[in-house]
Amino acid sequence: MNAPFPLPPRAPGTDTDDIIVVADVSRHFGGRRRFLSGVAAPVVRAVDRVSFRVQRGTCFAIVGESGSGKSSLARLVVGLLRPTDGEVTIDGVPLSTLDSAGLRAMRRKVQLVLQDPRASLDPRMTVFDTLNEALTVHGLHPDRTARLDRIKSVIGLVGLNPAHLGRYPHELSGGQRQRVAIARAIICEPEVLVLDEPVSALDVSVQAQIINLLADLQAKLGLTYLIITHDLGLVEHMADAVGVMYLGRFVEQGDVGEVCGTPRHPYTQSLMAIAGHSAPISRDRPAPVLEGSIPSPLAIPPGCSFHTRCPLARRLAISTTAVVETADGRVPRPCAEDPPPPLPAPGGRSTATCHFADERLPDSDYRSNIRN
Amino acid sequence: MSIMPNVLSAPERTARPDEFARQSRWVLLRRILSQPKGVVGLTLVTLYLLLAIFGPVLAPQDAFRQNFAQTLRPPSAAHWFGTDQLGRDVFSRILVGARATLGIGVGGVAVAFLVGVPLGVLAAWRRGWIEAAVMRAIDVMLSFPDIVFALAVVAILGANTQNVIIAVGIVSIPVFARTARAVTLSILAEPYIEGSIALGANPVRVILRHVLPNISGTLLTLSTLLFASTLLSASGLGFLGLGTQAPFPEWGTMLGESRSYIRSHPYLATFPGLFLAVSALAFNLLGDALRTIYDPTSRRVARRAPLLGFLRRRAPADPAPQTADEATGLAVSVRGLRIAYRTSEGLLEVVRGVDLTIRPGRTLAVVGESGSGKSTLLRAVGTLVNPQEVAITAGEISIGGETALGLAPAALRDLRRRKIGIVFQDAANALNPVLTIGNQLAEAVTAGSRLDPATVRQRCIGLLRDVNIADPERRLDMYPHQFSGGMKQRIVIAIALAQDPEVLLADEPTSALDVTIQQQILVLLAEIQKKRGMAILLVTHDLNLVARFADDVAVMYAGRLVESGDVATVLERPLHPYTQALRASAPGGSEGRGRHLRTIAGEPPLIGRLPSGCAFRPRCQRSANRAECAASEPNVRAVAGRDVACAFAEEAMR
Amino acid sequence: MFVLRRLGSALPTLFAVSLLVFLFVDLIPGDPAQILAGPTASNEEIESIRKFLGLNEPLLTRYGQFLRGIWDPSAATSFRTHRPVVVELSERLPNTLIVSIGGLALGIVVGTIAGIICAMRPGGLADAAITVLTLAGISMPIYWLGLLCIWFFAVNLGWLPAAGASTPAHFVLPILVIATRPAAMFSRLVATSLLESMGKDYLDTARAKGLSETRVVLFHALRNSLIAAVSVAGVQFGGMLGGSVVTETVFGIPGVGRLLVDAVSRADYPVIQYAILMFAFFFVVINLVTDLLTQWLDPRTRDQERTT
Repeated sequence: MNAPFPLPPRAPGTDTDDIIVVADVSRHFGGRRRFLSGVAAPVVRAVDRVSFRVQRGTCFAIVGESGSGKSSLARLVVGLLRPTDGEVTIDGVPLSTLDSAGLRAMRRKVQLVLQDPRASLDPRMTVFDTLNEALTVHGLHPDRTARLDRIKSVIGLVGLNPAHLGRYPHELSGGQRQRVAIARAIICEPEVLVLDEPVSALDVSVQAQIINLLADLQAKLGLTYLIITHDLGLVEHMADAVGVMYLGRFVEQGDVGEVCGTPRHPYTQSLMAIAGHSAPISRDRPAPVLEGSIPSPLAIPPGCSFHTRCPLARRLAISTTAVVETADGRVPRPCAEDPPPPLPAPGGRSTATCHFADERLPDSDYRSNIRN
Repeated sequence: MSIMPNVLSAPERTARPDEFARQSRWVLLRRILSQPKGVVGLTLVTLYLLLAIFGPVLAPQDAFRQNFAQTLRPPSAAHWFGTDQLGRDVFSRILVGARATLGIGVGGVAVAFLVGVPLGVLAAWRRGWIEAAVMRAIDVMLSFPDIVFALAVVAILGANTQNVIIAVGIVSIPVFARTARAVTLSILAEPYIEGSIALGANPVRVILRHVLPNISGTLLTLSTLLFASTLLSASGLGFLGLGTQAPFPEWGTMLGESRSYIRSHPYLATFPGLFLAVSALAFNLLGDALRTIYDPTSRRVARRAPLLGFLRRRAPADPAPQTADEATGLAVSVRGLRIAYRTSEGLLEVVRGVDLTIRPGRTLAVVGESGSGKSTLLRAVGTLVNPQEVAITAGEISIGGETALGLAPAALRDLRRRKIGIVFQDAANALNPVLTIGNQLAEAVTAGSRLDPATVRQRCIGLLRDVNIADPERRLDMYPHQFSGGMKQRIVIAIALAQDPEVLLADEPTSALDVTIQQQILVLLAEIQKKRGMAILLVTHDLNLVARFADDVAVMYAGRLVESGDVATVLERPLHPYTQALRASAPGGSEGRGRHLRTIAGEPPLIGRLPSGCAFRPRCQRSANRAECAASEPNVRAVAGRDVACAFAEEAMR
Repeated sequence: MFVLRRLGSALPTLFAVSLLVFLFVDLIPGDPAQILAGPTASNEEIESIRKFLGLNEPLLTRYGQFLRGIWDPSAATSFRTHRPVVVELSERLPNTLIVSIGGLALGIVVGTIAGIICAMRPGGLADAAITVLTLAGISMPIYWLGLLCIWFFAVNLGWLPAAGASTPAHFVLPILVIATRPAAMFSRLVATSLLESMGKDYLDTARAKGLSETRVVLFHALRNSLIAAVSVAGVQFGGMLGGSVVTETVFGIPGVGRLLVDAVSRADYPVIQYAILMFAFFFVVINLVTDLLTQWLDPRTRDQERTT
């Protein structure tokens, strides 16, 4: 597996150089008792026991559909949300040990780039003001000329020129705005950029420019990326490792080549089938369609949360006797009742959270070796 | 209205090198003065303020001197506005009274602003019990009609000018607090606030630098509008004899005094009333102008045809004369179609000569970026462009062999009903939120015919079955918001299918949906098409989707189709440089990992600011300053099994 | 469920309101008895007034007494007429309600029609005229308009009576005058929200079904706009009740508003208190009703409540 962008040499003597460590993190919303009526609001498990590590200088992607909890996870890493449970450690510092001032200082290291650059820049601030604010907040370059130099060099770094500094966001095009958002993120020399759908609000022909820019910056500045996206093409292009999220949990995570090349979780398989299929949908043969929609995070199905839609479970239910009848059809008993354990792949480079991760998609005559 | 993309508010791109200063503060003034109501309002407000400052100096006579020989005189050269019951000069009293009248307004608004705004911002920022307490207090205060509350305050404190200021001020506090809280909350929900917090900014900075500047416009508007109503309620107190006390002149008090003489000396009430009404009008006009500037929702309204626009509106351009349609057998046939937006600067062409045909049972995908004109094209084919905003300047459209242009309303309705079904990007907007699904389906089923309710219901259930919605009987009585996004889109499709159309128009039908749901909808459309044999016109920006779903593709750039033909032919070996670049710039596939993506330089052009010659020229690598490209727009030619609009299309084949 | 919760939130408001109105007398700077008695009164006189007002009683007893006055005519009497306040109020309430409800109804009907005309033909002659009239209507001091109307219709033309409330004809002018504000508000509101919903895709869905433009606007667009209008109607009704203070003075109608004004200028505290309490009660109830109505009319909120 060739690394996408050259990795900085690892410091000798340290066996890990993980800049982001997310350990068993959960974030639940709601659950507080309502004033007067005393009824507890229902709990939403936006993020549920997620763990992953990101090595310095690499790119980790979190993939999921809307409602999967991927944006909440990004905000947990930046420290905009505090976890209900678990610990996020950035560069060796557990975020839970920081007070709000410490957290603000920590944000110099971890910067967030949001999806829609039209909304993520203050409409009443010029590009100069926006960049200047970042320096002021962290007290960098107090000297006026040094500050101006820094701003000019960063604006050049993202492919704009000083003439853009006097403009307001509405005077810029979508691509230029996203460049400004990236400039604001890198001006304080952070180590991690959290990119929340960095290109999906842009025109197709502009997306490639921003993707190239991000790749150049990573190489030049040795940045670590955490990308939140639903676009598997982008993941395959940029990421070294990936976590596939469904209803607040990682269903599969590991090396990009492994997860995208030979997906083991039926959900990842379906996503890859859709993204990879540029062959016309045959109108005579049913195409691989994932049925139903994501269940409400208020009512996460028991057992494996994917069992309500899982095509593998449907097929297995035909050939096995240990099935249960659910509202969504017959599925093998463990799928509906037990939460699946993480199963590492043979090579150990990825993990799928599925009872039947090692079952190949059953052919019509497949009927052997089914664990109960 | 929704089809007007943002290109109309084209950003000014004047280069101002090395000028980092904020734009001049005169921008606000300029924007006020660009509206007629702003000009009138601001002028009047300025005049009134001058009057309040200099009124007592200007007064030609002593406003307090009584003259019992000259009571209740009509207007004359000596007394322009006549004299009152005590023989005082009304004109002088009005000039002197301006200060008290407007001063009460200013004072009242200031009191309300200074108390209400901090409370509102605090409530929005801190939430929790502070917000609960503030909101509860506001509730209690708003339980009194405002003038009654003011009366109560005056009753407690006693009637004089200062207490009236306090009274009308207190009355307006809840309005300010409530508005400040609401706008602060909405600003706090903006991504740039989250961006700023993520940057590491502390709360004080976020409030001072981001929240306050962004709510200032709304508060300024509110202050101006409230000034008008405060003026009126303060003068109302004066009218009731509970405001400024005699002998000091105040317009409301003067009106109140004139009440007894309305039968015999009506002019006594005329002048103070007129001054009051015009001052309220002035502030309302100015407030309206400010609202147009600051309130995004009213701006949408402001974009409507200008008031008095009927004075200069031209008759819509006649569509091209109807030629006998040879295109029978085609589901859709579009010839030489040109469409333009009507703007204040004249017509702005968005679709510039498009030809396309779709045979029954086929799917044509029109691919393009935002602003390429693809959605406008789709709406025009669906006969749904609003003639007040959009003009079809040339060309013809026929649906199922019938012309779709220049029809009388009844014929148009009939055509839409029988032949056209339409599916939009956002299913949530495409369904009426306050009507049940059954209601909306039934409307589509019964349009143009009379059926008994049982049959209608059966048909509706059948339609929901056709789009694979389980348990249709129960679903009919549900409202749109009770369905997920994918389900809503199925319902929209069911409505579109209700009259068995010949062509289904789909505007980005899946781009608002999750990938797995996208697939479901596409498969559904493919199945339905196979069953019913209708034509589909699909508009999208997603080449991947085109490859999977369409039979034919047309690539649109700056209002023209630059390459069109069979999907396999065009996408496998694109000839137009734009198609080639689009194809190459999509990330994906492990073979391209880490390598730079091929990009298209620059950004899509703005409508109305197209370059001369070929519109793609500035971004084109092939063009390389060739004279042919700059000279004229390349014609559409048939090259290697597709139509392409590039003078050098053959070069791609080598 | 929502009804109960909304009622639950209205009750504390009503309680706070009654407390505020009750404490009204204590908020007056100085001794109310002293003010009532006038500057020349002797100490005994002041003391007797204190006793009459019950100012020497503990606060809670006085509050109980105050609440009792709502249903017990003997508990509170006007200083001026020495009649029970409740009787004074109930005699005048019908006049106030006739004018307020009549004005509101007329305003809503005229305003809605005007708003629809504006929205259907933006930029037209009717739109221009209505927009100007609307602005004038919002800026017009009701008391001045009232005086002008009296002068024109009653004095000049002699068509209608100028003041009083003895015949139905007496109510025509006040209702016409008071309707200007809600009419202006509604024409604005309806035009704005109609224009806003004009751009919505669901109208195009309706058009694509082959429905006529009239049906599209009246059945699909207006329905959504009117939901927003209901809450404005509620606020306006409250405004009309409050406005009765002024209109009843202009037109010499014996109503609650006029009673309140007279009471304020004569420091008739019991009347002021109960009149304000009544206005506030109406206001709270109207807010409650419009909230429930909006909730019920909009299926989205209706359902949210059911599921939570």
